[in-house]
Amino acid sequence: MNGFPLRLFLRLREWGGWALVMVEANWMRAPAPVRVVLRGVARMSPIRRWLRGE
Amino acid sequence: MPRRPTLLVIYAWRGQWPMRRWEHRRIFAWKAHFPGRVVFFNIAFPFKARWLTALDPDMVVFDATALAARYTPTGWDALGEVAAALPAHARRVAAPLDEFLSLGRLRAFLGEARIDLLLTALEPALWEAFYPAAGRGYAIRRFLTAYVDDDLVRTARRVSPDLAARPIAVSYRAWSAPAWLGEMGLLKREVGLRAADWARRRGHVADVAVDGERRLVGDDWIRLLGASRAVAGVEGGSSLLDPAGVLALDETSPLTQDWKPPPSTVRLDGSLEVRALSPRHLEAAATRTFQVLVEGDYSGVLEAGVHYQPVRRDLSDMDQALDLSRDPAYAQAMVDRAYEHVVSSGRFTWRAVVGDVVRQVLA
Repeated sequence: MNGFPLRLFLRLREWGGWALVMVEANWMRAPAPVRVVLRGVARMSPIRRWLRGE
Repeated sequence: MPRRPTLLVIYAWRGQWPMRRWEHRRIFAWKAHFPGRVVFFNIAFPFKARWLTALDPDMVVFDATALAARYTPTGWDALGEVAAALPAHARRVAAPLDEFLSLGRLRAFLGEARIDLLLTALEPALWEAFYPAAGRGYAIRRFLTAYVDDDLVRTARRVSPDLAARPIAVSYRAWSAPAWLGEMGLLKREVGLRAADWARRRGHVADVAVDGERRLVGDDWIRLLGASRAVAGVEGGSSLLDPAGVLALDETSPLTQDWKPPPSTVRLDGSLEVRALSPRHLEAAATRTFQVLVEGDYSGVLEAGVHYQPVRRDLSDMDQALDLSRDPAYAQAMVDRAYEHVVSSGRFTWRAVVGDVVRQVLA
């Protein structure tokens, strides 16, 4: 991959990276009880199935 | 049609949002002023080095955030991967900050990555001590910690240029400086405490926070400056040198009475102290805020008595200096001179410095 497709991929990687930076920063600022709930939600099987596209 | 050059900006950022405006500008100002295509690359996330080889950039800038990766084994490896993947013809620029930390690794990287130009905030008198000429394969250029950007000027124009109308007598912010900054770190805290004390005794309004509380980011800091008649300050820098990299990850509080610097560190005294203009000094000039600063060189940009009101290092004349901020004619004249010099002259803008660096590197 090179040229325009590579530059587009790198641009998308950047955008995804910044989205993750913001999520991680907010995650770290969340109070401990909220983080516990979010961790629990991430383990729920319906969420995992959704992520797998089933 | 001649091919547009491609600039690759390598940086590392993760886990903190929002960024301070000067940190953001140091990375992204290249896009606004580079005469070609700019690609940004965050090495804080997993990557394949072959992407960089395939990109085939003409010029590469290693931002300070990427170079700070040298502090950890994972980051050091990532830097090495990036450097090895770059095409041989790509011209390489490094723009570190905190050069007193892990200096050994920084010097090693400059050689291994075949850097062509080092942009340093150090004053020229320290260049030989930090980067000995023997065996140095790169040019060195002085580079400020921050420059003035169009956005700052636009935001600063919204504040009142009339000092007497501003509601806050003095403001200041300092993070909780770690012990490894040495005396320079203690001074950062002390200057704020003295300013707050002056305001309390004189019955003025102060907005001072010295231990990282009430942190301001983005335009909030500019707005505070714009609402303040005066701001206290000191040069950025350190009184300790850490060639072996043992301090970079040390989170020791400066209030620890029994903290001793590790044996591998070097205490810097007097003319060897690492000192430089900080981004906030340019920001205060742009908002026409009267600066009461510990006397220093300020990277040759600000002149004592012309652009800022100096105080001695022992802060014994702090009260008199801050009292001058209440003299409307004196203070207004000083802030107007500082604005003219820093902003109106155009000498300290991102536009000017990016242009200069690109011409030097791609000539």
